[in-house]
Amino acid sequence: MHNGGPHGHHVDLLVRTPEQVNEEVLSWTTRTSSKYWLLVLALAGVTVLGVIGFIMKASDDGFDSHMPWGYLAAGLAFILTTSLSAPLIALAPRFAKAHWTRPISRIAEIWSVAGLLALLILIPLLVTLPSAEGRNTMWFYDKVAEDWPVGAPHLYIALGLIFLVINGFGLLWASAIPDFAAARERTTGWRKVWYTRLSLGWVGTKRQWRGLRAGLGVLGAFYFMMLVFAHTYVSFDFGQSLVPGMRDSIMPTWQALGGIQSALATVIVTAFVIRAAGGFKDYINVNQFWSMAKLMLASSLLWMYFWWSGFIVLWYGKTPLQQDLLQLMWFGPYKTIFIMTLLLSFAVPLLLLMWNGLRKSIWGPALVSLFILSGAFLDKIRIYVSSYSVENVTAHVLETVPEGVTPDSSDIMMLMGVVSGAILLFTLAVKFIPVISMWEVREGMLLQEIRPLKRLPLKVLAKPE
Amino acid sequence: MQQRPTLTEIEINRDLLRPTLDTPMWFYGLMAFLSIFAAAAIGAFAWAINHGTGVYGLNRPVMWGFLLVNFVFWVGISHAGVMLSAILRLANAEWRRPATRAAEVLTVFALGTAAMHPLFHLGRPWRLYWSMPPGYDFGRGIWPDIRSPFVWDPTAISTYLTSTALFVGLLLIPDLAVLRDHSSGMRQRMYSAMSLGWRGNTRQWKLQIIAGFLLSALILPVFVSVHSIVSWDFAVQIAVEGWNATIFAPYFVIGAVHSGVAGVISILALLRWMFKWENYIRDDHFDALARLMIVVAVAWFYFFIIEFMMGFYPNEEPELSLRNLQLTQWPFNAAFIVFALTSFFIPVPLWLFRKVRRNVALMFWTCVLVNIGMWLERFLIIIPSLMRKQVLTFNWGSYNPSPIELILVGGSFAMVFLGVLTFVKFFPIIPLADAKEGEIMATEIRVGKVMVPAAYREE
Repeated sequence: MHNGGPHGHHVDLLVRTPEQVNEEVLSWTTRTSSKYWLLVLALAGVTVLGVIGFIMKASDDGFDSHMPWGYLAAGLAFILTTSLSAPLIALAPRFAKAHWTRPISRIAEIWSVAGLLALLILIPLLVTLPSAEGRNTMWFYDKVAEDWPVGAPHLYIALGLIFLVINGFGLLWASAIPDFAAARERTTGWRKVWYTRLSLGWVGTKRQWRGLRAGLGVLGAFYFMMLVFAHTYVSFDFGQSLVPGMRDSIMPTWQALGGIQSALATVIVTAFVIRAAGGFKDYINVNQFWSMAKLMLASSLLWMYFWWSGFIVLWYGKTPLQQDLLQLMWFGPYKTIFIMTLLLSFAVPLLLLMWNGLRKSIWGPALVSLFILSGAFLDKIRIYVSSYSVENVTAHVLETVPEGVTPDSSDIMMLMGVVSGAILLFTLAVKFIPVISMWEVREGMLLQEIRPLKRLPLKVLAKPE
Repeated sequence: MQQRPTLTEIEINRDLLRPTLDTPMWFYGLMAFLSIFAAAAIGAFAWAINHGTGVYGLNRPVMWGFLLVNFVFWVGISHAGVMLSAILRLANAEWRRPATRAAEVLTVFALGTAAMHPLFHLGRPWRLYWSMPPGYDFGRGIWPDIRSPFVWDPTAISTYLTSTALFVGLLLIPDLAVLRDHSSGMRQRMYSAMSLGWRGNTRQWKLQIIAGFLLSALILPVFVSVHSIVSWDFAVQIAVEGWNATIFAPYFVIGAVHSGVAGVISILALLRWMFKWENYIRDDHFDALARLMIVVAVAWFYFFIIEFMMGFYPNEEPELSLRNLQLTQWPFNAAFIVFALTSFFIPVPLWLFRKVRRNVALMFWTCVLVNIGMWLERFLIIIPSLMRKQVLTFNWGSYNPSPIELILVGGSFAMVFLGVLTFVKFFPIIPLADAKEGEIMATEIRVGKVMVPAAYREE
């Protein structure tokens, strides 16, 4: 709803009764059309294609060597940087008491369901991951005593990802409890049974609200820490620790930052689709896209800064090992992919998002997000496929720069399956979990008003302690 | 509820201009006291020029000592200015208002003080000229290595100093006009000239706001570049263990923000105590700053863990020797424990409690602790690495700071505080215009029976 004012000013504020919010969100959640099922079928088909690709790869190359599995590792990293990072977009603004995030926080949180897919992908990757013995590892392997923590790195990677996924589900559930309770009162049949179970007897007492807010704070903080940790061990264990002599301490932090950038892009694209498909144009308006676009511009600049900070040290050192690493990762067989990444993750977002007119639109940020997601996808391929292409992981230094690895049909099928599998899980989830956080939107309506200041109507934002 | 007294424009002018127009006597006493230390530092520097750099405790291979540690520390402190002022201005954060100018002023004086340290290191400081582009002696075929971060340093620091001074000056204009209208004689003529004919008309305000936003955005890359370049002074040196790390640039920047914001909080607490500005620098401002500190501190700690872990990651003797030196040998082990406790493990858990975040004394002391820790962090990065205390190294050595270095380090703190106090004597350290705008923008929204603090938001 637009509230017009003089001097061309306008301010957006949702004008609905609480009951209307519940009605509109739940009616979309519980209603499925033939188009929806067609989409589910198509996504399921591509996901099955991915499974077939996996079977082909397993039967052709087996699980004895890590080398054929670089593209699947890139797929896992892509899921981590997009779907599993998306809940951050709900957490950080909630911590900062930002109102703009309310209509999109659930969209961000629902992406945590793709964690199931990440766990499935992790299994073959752990089977093929070389032992920590004799090579560099972040798990404190002692070369002299030939000793390292029991189960490292496999056990800790598995535990880390399992905890992250459980934490993501916990966060999603906790955040949706008040909405499950609202749905419980307005549905029948199997939905009512499940909403009743999941709402845990929520009636909205003061104590329950206090508990919910504390729970969201704790779960959110843990999710953030587990996610950063996941970016750290994935970039080490599936990346640089497979490359003898490679020491790139900025890589985990750069990957974590890339996670924020990709998470924003994921949420923007999803919000764009949900807004159009669900008729939520009054809920998700230009404010959400504008706010996220500003953060995306900042994260794109930081992405470049982090890359440059790491690159300059390697380039400046010019030791033989550093030159080989530059060849392997940037200027050798993956040069084209690297240049494309620079363009898609930095140059294009900067050149487009620097214009406020484009930032303050709905299509602009969505378009830039598609570029960023493509850049993130290519970047994961560059990092993980090149790392997986090194044969002798226990050598002291990189002995030869390996040839580039072109994806075969099974790699392409697996990557398509990974992407469509994640979207499939999200698509199924939005028809059970209210895609707009109804309680946060209703709360936001209480804390925002439009009032004239002198003669100008302005938005007034309240921030309770 | 948040404590938010309503203040009139007259009250704001009266309270915030008091240190400038009606300076108390103790203020001069404090300045005289600090001047003693600053004078001692100048004397120590003169001594070093007269006797040569042999008066420092430097030796082979520890050619950089306390003065370089202090240089990095003050460059770090200077990062608070832009962090708080530019970013929070761009983000339109309401709670920035009382903190921005103090942060910017701290930047100017901390950076100015930092810039003196390379001079202290030169046996013949007048030859600093040769490190500046106009001084490059191309005529005699003496070409500086322009690929060296040592050449980038003077450019970056002087750009940052110039742009921050411009930033402070520009945003000061409306307040200078108020001072012009409240003073007489020589001071009025000075403020009149500096306020550039400000009358506060719509066009002037529009230009002022646009210029403020533009400078905020333009200064950000400069702010990031300065400490990145300082970090590359170390990181590009492949022969020194512990330094050749790709993470150094963002690690230094986030560390600088950590110590810089802590420095601003300490200054704000002192200002509140000195001038009884409880209505302007309120508990909720400390609360918001402390929340920011939690985020910054956790991010910094993550970078620190990654950087420190990389020492063990390659399992190579020289790196392990360095970590052994830092962690187990006196006095570095003690310094490491104090560093870890003061920069993170004591303050951050305390800041999780709302009562601590809103307790000015606790905020002041925890932020002082942070800066003790961050000074030691730079010490632990620079000195043990240079000592090269490892197996089969022919020239490992140790380092003890000389009294001259200690006086210079102590004097640098006096110089920064003296600079800030001098600014307070002549200009309002809390922006009058911002404080007044904050009063206009503040309102409340009724939710049920409760009035919730709110603010008008221009988009």
